[in-house]
Amino acid sequence: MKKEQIVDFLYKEMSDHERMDMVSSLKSNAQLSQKIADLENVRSFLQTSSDVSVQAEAPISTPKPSKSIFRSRWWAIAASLLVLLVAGKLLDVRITWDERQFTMGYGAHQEGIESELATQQLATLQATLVSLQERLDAQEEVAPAQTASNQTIDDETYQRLLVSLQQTIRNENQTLKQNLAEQIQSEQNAHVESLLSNVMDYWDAQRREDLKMINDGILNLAGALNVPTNDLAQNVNY
Amino acid sequence: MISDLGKEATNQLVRRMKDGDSAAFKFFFNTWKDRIYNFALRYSNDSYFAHEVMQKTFIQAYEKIHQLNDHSKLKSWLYRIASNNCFSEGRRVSRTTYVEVNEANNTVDHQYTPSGRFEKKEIKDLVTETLQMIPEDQRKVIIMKEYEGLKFREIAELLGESENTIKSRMYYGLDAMRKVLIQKNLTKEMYL
Repeated sequence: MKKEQIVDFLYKEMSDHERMDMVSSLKSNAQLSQKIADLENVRSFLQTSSDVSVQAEAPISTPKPSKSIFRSRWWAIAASLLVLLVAGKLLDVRITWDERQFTMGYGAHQEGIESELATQQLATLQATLVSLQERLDAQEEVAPAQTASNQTIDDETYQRLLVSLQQTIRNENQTLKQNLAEQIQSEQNAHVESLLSNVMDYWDAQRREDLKMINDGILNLAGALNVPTNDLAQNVNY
Repeated sequence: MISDLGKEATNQLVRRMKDGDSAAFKFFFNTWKDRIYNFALRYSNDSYFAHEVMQKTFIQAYEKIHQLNDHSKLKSWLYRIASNNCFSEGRRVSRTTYVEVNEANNTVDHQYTPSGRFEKKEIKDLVTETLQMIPEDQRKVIIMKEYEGLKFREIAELLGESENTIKSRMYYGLDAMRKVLIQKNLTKEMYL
């Protein structure tokens, strides 16, 4: 008897005619009959666990080395530069240099502050001189017969007044310059605070969006696996 | 089961999967994941191995579904992928899968006393353990036939062998299992 026929008989994959022949052979062949009984016992043993099927758990991810986009040093440098550029754009960073110094600042460019101060100083000085000239002219009109010595005294007075005025103007300019610097600093601080506030709002919005996506993903996964949501993980509170 | 869906429903399911319908693929996955997992578990007696095979099988099925021309052969096509993955994954982990069994070799590593009956879980472990002791090509055929209900023609098709070769493997596989049961001193009364 061929092995294939025995298997066909065991699994009932033979025609009725072949089966009848096989049955008659079994009656006359004790050894074959014993063989088939033994193999049926093995099948019974195998079938004892046929209804014990194990449910596949949630797919586990294959641990694979993560591929960092920063694997290349050049990628890392390029990414750093990009971050710097974006941050610079957000903070209005400006970099200037001349033969004396290299400066980096942020906020609107305050070009010509010093030249403006110089112009103001000049205007003030001119106004003072004009005022002084008017006073001298008035004195000449009141006392046209004054002596040359008086005139000399007046010149010295004029020089002292001039020095005094120049000192006053310097002091005033110093105060003005200080006030302007404080004003600029205050404006820049307000500008930076506003920018940081916008960035924080943006990050917060992004975080909420990400948490929502994670929560949806957990719910989808739970739905796909027919697992109660709290068995997988608590919902993300976003 | 998909085989219960009927030819037309199976055809429609495959068409939807080919069109990229994720709901269809989810249905396909949910219907078959336990079967494939158990197939791989019986093959290997290793749950991690079975998970790996199951995942790879469905990933490949998703990627290669457009290559399935005869939609009615979805089941045997899926088992072919699982079977190939069992083989490749088994080679990868270089496992010792069976021991030589012959009549002369009566070295018994684990005998059971005929004092009591086994619980279901114990029987399952015992069957899986016994399956590991027969050659891989015979084990595969036995699992496909006994647990997956495939016809010899289908097994032959998916393993790329002749039907007679498959039947021959089945015979030798059952006979090898019989010898293992004798070696382990397991009698019918203990598991039936």
